[in-house]
Amino acid sequence: MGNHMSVPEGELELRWKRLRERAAAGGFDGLLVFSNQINQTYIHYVANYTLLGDRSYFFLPLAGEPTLLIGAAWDIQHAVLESGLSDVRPLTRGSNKEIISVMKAGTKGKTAVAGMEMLNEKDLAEFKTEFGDNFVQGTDLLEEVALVKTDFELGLIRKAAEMADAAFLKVVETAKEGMLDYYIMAEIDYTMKKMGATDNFQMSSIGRDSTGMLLPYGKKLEKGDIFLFEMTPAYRSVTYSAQLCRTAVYGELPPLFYEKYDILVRALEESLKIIKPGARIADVAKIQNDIISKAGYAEYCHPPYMRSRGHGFGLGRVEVDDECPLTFQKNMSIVIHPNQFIPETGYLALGDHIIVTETGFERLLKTKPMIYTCGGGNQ
Amino acid sequence: MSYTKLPVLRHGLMVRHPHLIPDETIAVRNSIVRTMMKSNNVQALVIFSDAIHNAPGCYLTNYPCYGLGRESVTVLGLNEGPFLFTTEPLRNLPKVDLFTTCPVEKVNPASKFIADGCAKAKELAGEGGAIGLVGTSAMPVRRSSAVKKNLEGRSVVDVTAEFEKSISSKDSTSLKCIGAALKRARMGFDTLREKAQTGADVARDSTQLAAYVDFVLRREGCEDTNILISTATSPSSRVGQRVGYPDGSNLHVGDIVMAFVGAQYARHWGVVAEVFKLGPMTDKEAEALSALESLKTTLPSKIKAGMTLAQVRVAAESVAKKIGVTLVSDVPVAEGIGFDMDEYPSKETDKVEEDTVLLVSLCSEFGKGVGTMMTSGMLLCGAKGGRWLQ
Repeated sequence: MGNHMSVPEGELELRWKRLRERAAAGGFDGLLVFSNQINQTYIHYVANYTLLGDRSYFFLPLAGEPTLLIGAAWDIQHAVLESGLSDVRPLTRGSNKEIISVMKAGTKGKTAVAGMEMLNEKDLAEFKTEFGDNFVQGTDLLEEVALVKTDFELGLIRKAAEMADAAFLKVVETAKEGMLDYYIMAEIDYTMKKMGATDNFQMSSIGRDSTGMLLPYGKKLEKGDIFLFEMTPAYRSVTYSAQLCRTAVYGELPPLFYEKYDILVRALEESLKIIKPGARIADVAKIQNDIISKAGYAEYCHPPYMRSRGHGFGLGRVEVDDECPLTFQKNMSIVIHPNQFIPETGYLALGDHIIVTETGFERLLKTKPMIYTCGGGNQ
Repeated sequence: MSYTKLPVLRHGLMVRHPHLIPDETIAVRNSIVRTMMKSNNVQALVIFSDAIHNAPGCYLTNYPCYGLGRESVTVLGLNEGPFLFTTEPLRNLPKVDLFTTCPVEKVNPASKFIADGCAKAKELAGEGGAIGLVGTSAMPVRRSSAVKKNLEGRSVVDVTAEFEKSISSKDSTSLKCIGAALKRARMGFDTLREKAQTGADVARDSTQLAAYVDFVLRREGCEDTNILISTATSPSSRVGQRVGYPDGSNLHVGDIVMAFVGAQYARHWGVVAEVFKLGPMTDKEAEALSALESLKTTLPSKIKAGMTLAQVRVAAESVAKKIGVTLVSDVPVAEGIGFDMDEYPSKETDKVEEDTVLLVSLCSEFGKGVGTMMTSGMLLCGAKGGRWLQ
């Protein structure tokens, strides 16, 4: 049984195995996962359920079958089909009695709670009354396990990267003078969604002298406008996002823009070279900052002129900045982006999504790191 | 919050819509809230909003708390404000100022938005003044603990319920925006039905169809859409059918399609949710749908301001029973809608205020051979009854 959004046999069991091992090592008897609409990724990771409605819980005992509880009772048939789980139950509105009962039956000891910080005060107090000090913050446990993707998850991310490339090329091909910025965004979304995208973290800027990217506001495309894009299609869950950061021009740009963009290209390429398991993530940020600083823009290598030099998405997110204490691990999924404000050009966007491999990295995007020209000539 | 699927970032057209949402309206809303503050002896308000509960802050500032800054604190004094503290990156503020009605306070780093908002509230309330809180029950503990810490030692009153009632009674501005959103939702639904019924290429499966309707609505200036579809092929799969996240199911002649099209425009939601068949309906199917439509015609006279949502359900079930229809128990009959889906009234005990807009969903099982049928509408409630918004 299943539907088009279900996962292959053994996929969820593999994730649960990793989570159980981590939970047992931490002295926990079980894992409770909570999601609401603000962060749907937790429940999707453990149950492969696209959350509709206000909330959902998933309880994973160290042994035995897990239970999924959903807030939208009417969605139960869909939840069973999508998740493939045998024990899916509705929650009573405004009540936690069902999940408390499941937890009481499944554990006598400590429970790690992923998403505990998202509970409201009333719900947290209810759990604390029932379980006291055995109800323990466990979000990090879930985040750490999810940091390293399974082969199936990597396949979803590769598919998301195809969507990002396709959407960007669609814009480059179809942009016309006078086109409204939100029409362009609609084209991007449509291209991705036709390919199966379930979400898209999409920022953009169309114009000149941009200080960053935001939301469309009704700007008409004019000759000489620069497009900045951060396109991030997600396939099934935000955790399976791939990000493309690119710059394009409608019309022509002075050579200075290409010279400055080359600084970003060098920063990207040089920083990518060090990526392999065991390499320090912070070094990627340091290499990029060093190259951009040496080009004369040291004072712009910090917020608000840029934010970070890359990051993961959804569950298992890391920040690529010079304070990141982590090292790369095989099967991590990260965007590396030397997006940068430069006073002479305004903000410029460049970033590639990568997966860390056994010996280095896999570059997911097929579009080249360069300034594209709308209407052709992009070799 | 039955039907909400919150995207990671709403990224449709984001403008101020001054023709629909004039500054005067925002001023009046602030004045209404100040009156409520006075009656509660509160000198300043701290209003929490997030991407799920966007309404409280948006009502007073027109700031959509579902763009990059997915959380905000709005602070209102008796004579000053509103002051808006968001998690927007600093570099966005010049653009954010283009679509709000009050300047956004600079908060750096963005994680300090609660601390800075609370500090402003303390300043406005003065030494011994009480501070009112809005949005506390929905606030995640990581935020409510920050509020508590930052307002420690101050007299604090939770005025969420009274604030929500102000929002629940829709002013003419909100009604215009809801009308504009509903018009787009209707257009989206009609497009969906037409493409499906004519077997258009964009309707080869539910995912493609939802993508197309989303595309059409975004070009109509929608900030976001929420499109749920389910298809049922065999008569047995029609029993228990509910709208759901598009799953790529192919569409065939003879299928019953259940679709929910939500369109968000000018900060407000419009929804159209109905069923239709690909191909001619059987007499029994048409009869079942007609019974639901008849229920929809009768219902507005039975729903009045002052009723609770539980009483609305009882009223709907009573009318349904008279025409031989049983409403399913797992689909909420009514919930508040406007700035958010499932805003106040949302709990069974919540009262319907005058000029509240309800999303009414009428869903019934008609058994083998017919399956589940559904219709819906957005009902504007008055003291003597309601009327469907068109």
